[in-house]
Amino acid sequence: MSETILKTENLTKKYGSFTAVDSMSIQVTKGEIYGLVGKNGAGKTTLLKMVSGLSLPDAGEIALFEKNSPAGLNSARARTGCIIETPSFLPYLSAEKNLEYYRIQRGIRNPRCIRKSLEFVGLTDTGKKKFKSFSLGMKQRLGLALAIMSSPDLLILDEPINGLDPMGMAEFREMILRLNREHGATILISSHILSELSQIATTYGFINGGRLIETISAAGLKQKCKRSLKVKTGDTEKAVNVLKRELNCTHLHVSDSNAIYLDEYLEAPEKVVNTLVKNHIPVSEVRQSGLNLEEYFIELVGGMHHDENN
Amino acid sequence: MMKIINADLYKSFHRTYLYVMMACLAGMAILFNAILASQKAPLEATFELTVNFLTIPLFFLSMFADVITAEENKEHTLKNTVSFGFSRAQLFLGKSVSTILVMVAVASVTLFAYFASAFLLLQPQNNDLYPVLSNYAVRIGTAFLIYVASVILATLLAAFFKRNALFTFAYLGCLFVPVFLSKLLGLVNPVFSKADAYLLANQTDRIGAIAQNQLINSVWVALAHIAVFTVLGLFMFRRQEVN
Repeated sequence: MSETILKTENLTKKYGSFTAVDSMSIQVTKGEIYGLVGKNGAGKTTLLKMVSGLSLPDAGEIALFEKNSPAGLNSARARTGCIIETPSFLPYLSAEKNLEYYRIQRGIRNPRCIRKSLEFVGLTDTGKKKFKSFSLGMKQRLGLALAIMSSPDLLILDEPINGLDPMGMAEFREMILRLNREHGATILISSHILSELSQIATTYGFINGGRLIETISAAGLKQKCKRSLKVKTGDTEKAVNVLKRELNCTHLHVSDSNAIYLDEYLEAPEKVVNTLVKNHIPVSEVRQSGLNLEEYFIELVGGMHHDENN
Repeated sequence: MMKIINADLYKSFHRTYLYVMMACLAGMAILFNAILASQKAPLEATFELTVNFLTIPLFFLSMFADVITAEENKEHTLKNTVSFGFSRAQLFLGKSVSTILVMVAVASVTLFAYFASAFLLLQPQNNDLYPVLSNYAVRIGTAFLIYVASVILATLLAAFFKRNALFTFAYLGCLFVPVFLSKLLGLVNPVFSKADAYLLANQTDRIGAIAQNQLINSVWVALAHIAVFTVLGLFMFRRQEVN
């Protein structure tokens, strides 16, 4: 069984009458890249702030590396690295001196960790340039350098690619994947740039209105979002037989709403229509179905809104 | 907590601000003695005069809390410390001690400049300076305790107010508004004037005026304020959200 790195149970945070996080229970296991998906204000940052100790929950429990007492959690947090909201550093110090400040504070004995972290994020050439003169991309890189400086077992990254240009996003993605694959870091990452998240996450947690509405593995999501040809006819049973007999369709299934989903003929739907019409089966709908992460999320959240409104 | 203090000292001594502050204060001390020398004042006069100016440092002590805590609050860097597993108590106590140590460093440089310039520029009236210097040391020592209490108050406020102006205003308000109120209410009823003896900002005024054996009251007031501000800081920071 995989080791549980982070577990929250019924975690709740309220600001006045507004519930930012509502009874949220998530579980992150070792080696995972857990992507938190949610729109702005869904509760992602509040959840990550509670996990990293910046905000205290009103109810519920957090267990980090199987420790859940306040002192245990604090010691467990020394095994994490975080970027919560915008990376913040002392503006009058250079990248190296900022990291030296935190190296002393964190009691890391080997000063070489600074050079190694800066090399990893590609920030070795900034010299005496002060943090206040850094571009957003450089700030994000320095944030990641600090997060990995103590060789953490869990990285908590809150919208780390916000504001980066496409090149910067790709480089950041590669760095995260390297940390996961080469250094064995478990990663909890939130983003609303779903196209980026979909390229790295191994598990997704969908959040809406402070609640976790679905947890799904990347493989499970891929299966759910698989592209297929959706066919609706007047006689489903006969249509299935015709498609099997005349078009040799083997990968098909019928949904509860009597729609036929074909994994074949995606590029030639006219062949399907012609065959059905030739066999006197009325066709009411033929279209490609399947979703990407963004569409899946919109459908999920849209469905929630629909349910809430009803 | 030692790690927080070490890091704060590294940070503080890697910025120009602190050295400019040290140079200004040392320069003022030297200038003060130079003016006395130009007036042919004796060495004893400098010690008698400076004990009357002990309230002045209260106005700029908040700068030390600014360097150590307020600036980190403003720049949102406290989250880097808390997210690594330091408790809020460790953070508050660490920041308070760091601020006191930086204050001691600046005070040491200023006092060195002050004593060096005094002994170089001024001539003593009496050969036996021991009674003057010991009396001066006791009064400065008492003032130091009052400054420590003020610095802890400043750290407490620096952890709450992100805006420098607001933090400085709150710090000066906490120190001097009670003095103003006790004087004002004392006009209505003399009972309120009794509070004067227990107010922190009043102690520095009293140090120069009262006899040495009466200083113990100021010491107790300072120690009580140190305890109250520390407990209050720990309590208020306990559930504070760090951004």
